[in-house]
Amino acid sequence: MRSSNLGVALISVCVTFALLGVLFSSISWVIVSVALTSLYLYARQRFVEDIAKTSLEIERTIPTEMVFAKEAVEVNVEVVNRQDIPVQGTFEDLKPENCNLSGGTNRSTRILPPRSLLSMSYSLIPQKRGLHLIPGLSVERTDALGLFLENQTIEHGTVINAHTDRKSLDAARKMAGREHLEFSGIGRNPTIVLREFEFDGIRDYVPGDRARDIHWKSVSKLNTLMTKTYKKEGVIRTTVFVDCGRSMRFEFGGVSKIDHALNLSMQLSNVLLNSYHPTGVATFDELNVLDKVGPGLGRHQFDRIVKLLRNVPSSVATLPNDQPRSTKNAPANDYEPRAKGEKPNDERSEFLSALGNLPASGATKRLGLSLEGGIKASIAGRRGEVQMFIVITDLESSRDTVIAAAKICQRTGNRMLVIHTYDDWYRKNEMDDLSHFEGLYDNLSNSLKVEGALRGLGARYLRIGPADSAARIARAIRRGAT
Amino acid sequence: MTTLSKEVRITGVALAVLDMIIFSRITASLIFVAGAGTALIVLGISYTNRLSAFGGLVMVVGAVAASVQITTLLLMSEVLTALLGLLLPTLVLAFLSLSANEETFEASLQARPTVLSLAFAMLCLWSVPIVSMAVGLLLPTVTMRITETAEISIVMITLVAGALLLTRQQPSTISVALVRDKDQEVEKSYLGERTNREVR
Repeated sequence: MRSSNLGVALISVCVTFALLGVLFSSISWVIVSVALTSLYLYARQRFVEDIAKTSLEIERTIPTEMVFAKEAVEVNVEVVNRQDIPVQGTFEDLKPENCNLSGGTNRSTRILPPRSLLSMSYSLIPQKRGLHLIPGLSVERTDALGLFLENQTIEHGTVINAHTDRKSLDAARKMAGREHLEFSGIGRNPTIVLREFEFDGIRDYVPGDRARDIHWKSVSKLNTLMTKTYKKEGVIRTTVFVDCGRSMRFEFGGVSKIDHALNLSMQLSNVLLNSYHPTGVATFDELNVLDKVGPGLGRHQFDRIVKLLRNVPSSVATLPNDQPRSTKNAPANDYEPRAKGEKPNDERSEFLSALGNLPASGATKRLGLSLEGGIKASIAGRRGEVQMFIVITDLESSRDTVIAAAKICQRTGNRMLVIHTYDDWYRKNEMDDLSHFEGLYDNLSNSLKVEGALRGLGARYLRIGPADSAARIARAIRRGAT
Repeated sequence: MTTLSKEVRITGVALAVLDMIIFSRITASLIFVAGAGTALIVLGISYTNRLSAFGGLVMVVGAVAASVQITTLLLMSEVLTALLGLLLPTLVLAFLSLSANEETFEASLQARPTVLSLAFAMLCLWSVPIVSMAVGLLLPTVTMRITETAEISIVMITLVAGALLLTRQQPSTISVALVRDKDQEVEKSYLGERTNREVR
């Protein structure tokens, strides 16, 4: 509690009158000072009691069902004074960080009479994807005589979970009609065959073949009927794994790898779904598979994927030197493939066993041990069926697990595509600093080693930067550039 | 809780000023100052302007304090003059002046704050006789002359000590009876929602 300007003025008058009493040796000045001080103390005591008796009911609603970054979201707040004493002051619904006020007002100065309602309505624009917490309601009260101020915050937050930019979703919708990704494979379910047949070869005519399948051009040459044969182009179950590890979440100069990966996974999965490939998405970090939507088709599959991706952790803005570049701890990052059959050393074993002992209870249910666990679980669920795993990762903290996953895919005959969000290309701001150029060659050399290892394991590999769109990636995959 | 209208408050101001003037030996020039101060208070209450009323309050109490002659607080007549002619009217006048910001003022004289602040004022007023009596009881052989400056010092020491004691209590936090948090849950299909909008 603090004195208002008027309170300070009143106390100043009291002190002045007391000094005048001393100066003129007059008790009457002191008596006036006593009277004004008594009133000041009365106001204080009364205000303390009023605050103790105050009881408010707060209701905050966000009518928008799906909140997007950089798009206004409406917030309605209702405050009810449940007691018989009025509440005088300024009510302010606190704004979350990284959100701008776009309309309405989140602040109201008034006397809230007993048993009455105060309504505020305003719009916020989340500047970035992720969770935004409205910390609570701040009430700056003044007492009835205007001598004191008290600022209290009722800390009960509401979380706004902003999805990625709406443009990205719209791009996914538009891309789905234009682009397509094709991986040959035999689908189990013939009713969801996509493009029916693809030309395979020619064989001798057998009675019963359809007339339209006869290869008429060869009749004149061979003087016999030949029939064109087709290979069924099937669908392939695809799971897009998005790396949500620590290194993916760092944001350098406004470019975040995780946001890019999220947009790509959403757009690619919609392209795949539109091509009738059963598609799912999973997120993983250094320890666990965080969340997963199994491969599937249907109207609501894309909605499920969008909903899952809404819970991807947000990026963390850093100063340029906060996150050490990979070259600064080069010995740890130099990739040395482990010889076949070689057992992990003691430290690795200890670390992995410690991870294995982590309890599965808690807020996040553990769905498997990182990427390897997730891929193993997918393969185990569909034995005998070829699956496709698209892993979007920066290969910083998850390099070993990606390589291990590639080995599993090679061993089990499944396919893997690694989309590498290449770290150096996301560090725009640091490119002005000459000292960083020294590390670029080493980084690229290491990346090439990893690429070689992955290709050696039969995985396809694509190195991308922030400018690479999903359409460009889809075209590169179709052209076989991977 | 009593609701005080503007008229009631203006009447209260007039009575308080009249009371102070009756108990004082006010000069013509000071009457002018007190009158101007009263006019400011009345205007402040009429136009709900607290600052104007506060300025008027300072003028009135300053003029009256300069005119009331209280030489000692050891005489009953002087104490009564201080109480009825200065202390109580000043309290009333200050209370009404500072309530000028509202059309109707809810004058809830809550028991505890009222009792405490009045007890504090009385203690300050009676502090000199109490100290004098205590000295007489504890040191009966000592003859002590309490000068006017000593009386002022005793009142001021009591004032500061009492104020420090009464301002120790800190406010508690506002109790929130019920906070209903309706976090958004996306149960409806985004594409479905969009389709519905397009259909509309």
